[in-house]
Amino acid sequence: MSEQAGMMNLLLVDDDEGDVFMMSELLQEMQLPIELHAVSNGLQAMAYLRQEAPYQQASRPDMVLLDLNMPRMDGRQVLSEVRSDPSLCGLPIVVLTTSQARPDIDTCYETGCNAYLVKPFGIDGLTDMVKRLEQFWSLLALPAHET
Amino acid sequence: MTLPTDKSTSFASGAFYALALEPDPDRRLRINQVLNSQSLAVQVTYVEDAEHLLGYCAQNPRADLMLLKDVSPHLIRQLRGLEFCRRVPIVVMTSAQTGSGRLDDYYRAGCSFCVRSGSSNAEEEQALRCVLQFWFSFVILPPRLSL
Repeated sequence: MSEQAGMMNLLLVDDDEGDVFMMSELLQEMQLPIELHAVSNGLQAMAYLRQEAPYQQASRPDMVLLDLNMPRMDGRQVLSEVRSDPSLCGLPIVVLTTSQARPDIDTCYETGCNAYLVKPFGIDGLTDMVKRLEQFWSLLALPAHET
Repeated sequence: MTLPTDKSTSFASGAFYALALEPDPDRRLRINQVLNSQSLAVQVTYVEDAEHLLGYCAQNPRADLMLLKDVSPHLIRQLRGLEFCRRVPIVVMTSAQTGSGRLDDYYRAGCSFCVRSGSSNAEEEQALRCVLQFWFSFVILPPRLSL
């Protein structure tokens, strides 16, 4: 977990500004112990995770919520790079996407995603999803990591 | 090898299959009770120990989720090396503390999530309830392989 005791440090990788905004607002409104950081494509995500410019000061997240279809570098490539990088390979990654296509589900589990979720529609669906995620996350035992 | 498995069907027409390494009959009963209390249509197959688990998993097991308690990270790695188990989500119920090196080993070995097992029966049931609800009513599980 992050420096603040009990806070989960979560990285959201999503190019949809509306989804990022809603997620951020919801977490704030629900006062969940989650510190949210967001980037909008796979290249930024990899730079963030490797603490490369401009993210040298970023803490390593406890978990990543990863969209699949993004410009520049998509979520499938991020998943594959993370799993093949010895310093990142144990990082929990939950895919959060609109895609329900079997090839995407197959590919993500083959590549090593920890869970696959489909983005809900509307604010009620998102609220429900965040509540369920938070319930599950509150039970998790996560590894320490160097910052 | 004869595999002394005990299939406990929560619902006759179970839509999902779980595989649990659980030698304790009382704990098996608790898992079944949690499933029944949540009306989750899941058929659980229980195995006694790591050897039986590996033997069962080498033979095209029906498993949408594996639930393992305090197993070794090495066992997770062995499971991930089996064709039929590469993509199946593995949840480890553990007493390891957040931040411990053992958790890092679990995640690096390919476990999907480590969940704190709780220090009492009530806590354990609560954790089980949340885990089963999350995986079987929320997550998109990997499509079954037909090899």
